[in-house]
Amino acid sequence: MWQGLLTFLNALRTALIGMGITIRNFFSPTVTIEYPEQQLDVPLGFRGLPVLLSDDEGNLKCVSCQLCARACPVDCIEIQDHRDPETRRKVVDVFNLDSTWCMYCGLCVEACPFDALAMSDHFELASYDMPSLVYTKEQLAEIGRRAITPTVNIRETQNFGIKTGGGDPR
Amino acid sequence: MYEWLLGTGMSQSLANIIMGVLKSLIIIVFLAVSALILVLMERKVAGRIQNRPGPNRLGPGGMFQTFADAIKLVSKEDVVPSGADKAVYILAPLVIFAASVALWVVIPFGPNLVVQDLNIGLIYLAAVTGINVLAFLMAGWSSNNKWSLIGSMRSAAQLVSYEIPLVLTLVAVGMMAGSLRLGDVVAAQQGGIQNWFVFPQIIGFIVFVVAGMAEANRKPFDLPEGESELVAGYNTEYSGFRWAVFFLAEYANLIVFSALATTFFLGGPSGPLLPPIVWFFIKTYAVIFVTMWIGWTLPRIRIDHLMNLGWYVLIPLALINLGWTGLYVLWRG
Amino acid sequence: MAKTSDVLGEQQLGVPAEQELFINMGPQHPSTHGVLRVLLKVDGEVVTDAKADIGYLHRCFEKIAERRTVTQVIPYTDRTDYLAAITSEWAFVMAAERLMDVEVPERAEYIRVIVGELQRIASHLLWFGTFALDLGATTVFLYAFREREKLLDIFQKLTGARMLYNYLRIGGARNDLYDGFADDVRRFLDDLEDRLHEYHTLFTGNRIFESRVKGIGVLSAEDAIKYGASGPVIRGSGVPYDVRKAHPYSVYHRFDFGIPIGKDGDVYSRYLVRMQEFYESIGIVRQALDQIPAGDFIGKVPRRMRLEGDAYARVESPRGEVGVYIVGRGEENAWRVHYRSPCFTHLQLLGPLGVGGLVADMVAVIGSIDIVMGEVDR
Repeated sequence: MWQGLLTFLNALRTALIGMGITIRNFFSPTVTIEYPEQQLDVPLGFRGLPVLLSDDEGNLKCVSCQLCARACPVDCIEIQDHRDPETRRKVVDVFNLDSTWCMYCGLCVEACPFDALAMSDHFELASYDMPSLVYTKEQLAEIGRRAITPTVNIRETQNFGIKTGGGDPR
Repeated sequence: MYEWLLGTGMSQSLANIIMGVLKSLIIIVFLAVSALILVLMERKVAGRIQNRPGPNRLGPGGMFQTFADAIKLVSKEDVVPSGADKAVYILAPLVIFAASVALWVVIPFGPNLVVQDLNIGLIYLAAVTGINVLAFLMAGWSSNNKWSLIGSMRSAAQLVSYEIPLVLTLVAVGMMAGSLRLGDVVAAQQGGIQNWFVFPQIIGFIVFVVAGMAEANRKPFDLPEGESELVAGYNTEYSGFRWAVFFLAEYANLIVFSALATTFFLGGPSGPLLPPIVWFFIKTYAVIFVTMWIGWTLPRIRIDHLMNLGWYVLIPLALINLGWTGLYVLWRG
Repeated sequence: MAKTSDVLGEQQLGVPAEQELFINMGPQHPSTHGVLRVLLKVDGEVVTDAKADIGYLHRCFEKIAERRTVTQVIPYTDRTDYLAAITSEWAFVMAAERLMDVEVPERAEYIRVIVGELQRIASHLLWFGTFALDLGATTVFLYAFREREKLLDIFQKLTGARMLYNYLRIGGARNDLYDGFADDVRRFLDDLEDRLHEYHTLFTGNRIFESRVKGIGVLSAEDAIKYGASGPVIRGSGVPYDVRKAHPYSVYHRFDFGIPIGKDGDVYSRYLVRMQEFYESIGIVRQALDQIPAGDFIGKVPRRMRLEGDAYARVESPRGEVGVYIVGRGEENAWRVHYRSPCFTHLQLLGPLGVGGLVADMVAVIGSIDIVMGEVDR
């Protein structure tokens, strides 16, 4: 019984010490970020939705070389093209990115030799229906055009991402 | 009120019945409102202790969160597991709720603010708290779930063992007051903080708080539901409204325990300046806050340690306290 | 009414004696860390037999790894041990480098050590929180997560992701450390040291906690070796085995760090070993930040990586020894990949450690061996 009593007293003592720590935290400010009113600053290079980039005239940089589709581990990129009879250049008809499959690894951006793809800061992808989760060429290009960070030389600067300032293309 | 009813020409027995119904309605509404407040308070206290704001979406400071939760729970589908013993399964929440309401009969909110100041109030309390065990056993057994069964076995062991030190401290309080009536216990502590029983009864107070928290299934003694071990213990299979009743009863038990600690050791509704009922609630909520504070600090105790604590520590302590109280009362004359 | 748990229980653990019953702990249970299912035979609350039932999270990682190029496999390795993605990547990348004789620049090795040790801290913080949660201390759980979030912010700035980094590459890393990385990390480590002190006062010293973990789930040194345990589990039993010292890889031989070992082999020893490893990791990261040389963060690698021959690499992950064995037959994808996961090995200890204790002790044991089901099932 004395053993038990000593243990009990010891437990009381250690409990009081612990309670001292919890009450200190009780009066210290909260660390919660109250999303969506408050949002953390997404750092440059964040791997959100991969988007298509355009050149200064607003044309897509993508030349449909299929390297990103081949680099993708989950085959979530679908590209269809045709060759322009006059300029003899490939024109992208379809560039679909299935965001339900995409695992945001960024390998497509690393594979792209033309800096035509970048990982955006676009991460609020929730949707009520599955088809809208497949992003089309136009949607990806629109987010890409909103880029507010310099996007040149992605591979040299080792920044595979861009900042777009948020917003949903759908 | 009673006189007014008689004045309208009503017979005495009818007036008694109406008064009884009114009083019990007041108690039930009071319990429901208290539970709503306590749920919010618990979540807020836990949140602050864990460096987060707690519920803050609905209403100013998340005030209406518990109302939303209550509406959600009430509107949920009523599920009875296929293998359950249906009658017992449905009865269990009612039993536990009835028991926790019945406790309020004898608790004095203030001078003359008591449903029925029984002259055996202390014995009545000890008797009614015993009913909880029955409800837990009914819930666990009828659910046809092994986790529920283990949870109810734990609660039976826990509640029965902790009732003994609890009652022993009540006996000491009765000796101090020289009466088993709660009104007399409060009256004996009138006249300033130095007359509170917590000082001569410090051992009894500690035993009462520990045993009371165990009786009310508060953390760190929440073994009957022990989430990380027993999923949800005795109420694993309960959902919707029935679960809400268990929840309500749990908070009702907590506030009963705090009100008892206030009545027995902290002078009850007595205090300067403010009206007695305000003092009663200030003290009760202070005790509730401390139990929450303890609960959100400590890890859960293990069942065999809990038993050891009850039988090898709390009961001897309560007995020592009883002996000391006898000497104290003799010395005081 | 016969329950599935009874039918399966009799198949796996035999007919129960009188007064014994089977209990399904999981796959949906608050403290089985995912989808582990433990079949328990209990007498009252005393566990008389236990068997882990795994496979609920099987995703054919090894088979997928045979159909992808080495670089494409790296994101998949993240998803094996998702709480220590860097170390899973590291083992795989190292095996591939050995296979192809790729030289890794010195700076890249330092980067790997830094992120690897930070990963160990992040993983241990999560383990600490969930272990406390298993024992019913909810508040400690959120304190641990509070610190882990700060570390994940650093990871997010460095790699672009918070959990599945895909950061290491054959021959180095994906990108260089960003400007101010060292300051961020140093600030975090200083803060962490204060917080660790707080954890120790709040939790380690608590009498209830001590009585919950002391003498529970005792694993003797012989058994630990026999079962092939590694990491904090074997060190908790007093065997000073650590891949970083026993089979030095990368630049670990340049750092001064100790291997914390436990005395008794119980849950408490394993707990203390992990808590001590926080300090060792902090020390390693600080030394590495001081010593890190300039240079390339990725070495010269062939454009088309052809795998020929076989190679094995092992690293010390926060949970134990992670090993990757790759066999190549001259193609871009491996012919066979085997992944040795420490959690899978440790899971076999559940029976020996948990039997004889209470159900609550079983929870403590599961918490103390720190399983990640993604790694067990792969």
